[in-house]
Amino acid sequence: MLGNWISPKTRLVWGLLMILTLSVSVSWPAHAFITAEGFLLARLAGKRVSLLYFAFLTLSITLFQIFLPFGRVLFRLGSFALTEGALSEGLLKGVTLSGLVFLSLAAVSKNLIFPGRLGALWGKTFTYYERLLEVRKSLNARGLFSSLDTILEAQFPTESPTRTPSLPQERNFASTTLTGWVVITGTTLVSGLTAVWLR
Amino acid sequence: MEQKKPFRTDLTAFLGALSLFLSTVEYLFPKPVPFFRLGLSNLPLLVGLDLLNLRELGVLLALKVVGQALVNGTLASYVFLFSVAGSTASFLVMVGLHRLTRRIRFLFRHTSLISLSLAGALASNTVQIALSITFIFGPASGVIAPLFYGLGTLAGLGVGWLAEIFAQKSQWYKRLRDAQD
Repeated sequence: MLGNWISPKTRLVWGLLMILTLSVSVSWPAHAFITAEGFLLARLAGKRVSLLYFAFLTLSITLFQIFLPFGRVLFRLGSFALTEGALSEGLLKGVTLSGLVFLSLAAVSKNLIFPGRLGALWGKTFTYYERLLEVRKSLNARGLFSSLDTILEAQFPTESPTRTPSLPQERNFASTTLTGWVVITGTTLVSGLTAVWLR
Repeated sequence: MEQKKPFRTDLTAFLGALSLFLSTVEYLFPKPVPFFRLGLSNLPLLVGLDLLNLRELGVLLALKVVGQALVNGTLASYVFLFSVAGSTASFLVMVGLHRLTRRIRFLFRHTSLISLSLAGALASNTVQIALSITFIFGPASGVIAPLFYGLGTLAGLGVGWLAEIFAQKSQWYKRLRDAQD
């Protein structure tokens, strides 16, 4: 849906602004709120996001953080002390990192076009990539290398090496719609105000 | 017959696309631990060592890293930085070893892609573990480094073996190589 409303370049700039609001916010609730917002936006962008994966990431970071104790002791088991500071730090780091990934997923479109020769090269690469995805079902596990060779020769002929393979068509994407600007303004305002108010 | 520049540019773009495609295929394989990557997307870099010059290999590396970040949507996150660091370390080691052994042919008749892949995997693992410990998980996470090195070694050997088999069996690759001469 986001891809239909917001152009790739605008989306990237907007995403970077949202990441900035996450970076400047200092409190737990602000980080959690913006991360949750990022998750929803990533889903709106059509990206598959595994909450289990990010829960495990947060848990792992927290687990290693609690071995560097500081602050008020919450719980003690032998020589091991679970402290509020270490627990809070770990959870905050995990949530923030997850939020950064969610916002990146929402902001970055595979249709992003770079200027100049780099842009032209990326355009070719992406077109070849889309062609390979279309024919991937032709891969045969029993004759893997021969079926792979057939696909490779079809997508990039070698038998006339002096002939340049056909150039991919130019890709054009619509500019940002009114709905897109509403989404951009609304989410950026909400994140910014959250970062400022929830201190 | 030497290949013309537009053909070589297109070949670089195609190998970049193959790298992205293999990155997608990689997600189909179950991971023994989270955050672990098999490294299938390095296959085009390995087979490209004898097809492309240094500048073209550098462009292929950039297409692989930036392309994956764009396709997966991680361009604006720490994942991209980790990918850049690991892939660059791996690239420098693989290309360096490949070029060095090519110059000393009396010692190395043939540089196995398995050895190059393994060296690259270890370099990438080292950099990524160092970054993970420093910026994400903290010093206590050093205890899992042996596990990651072990898995990285197996993955490096596996990818190198696949690359070696492909280089030997693929007629497409053979025609590209013959056109270099």
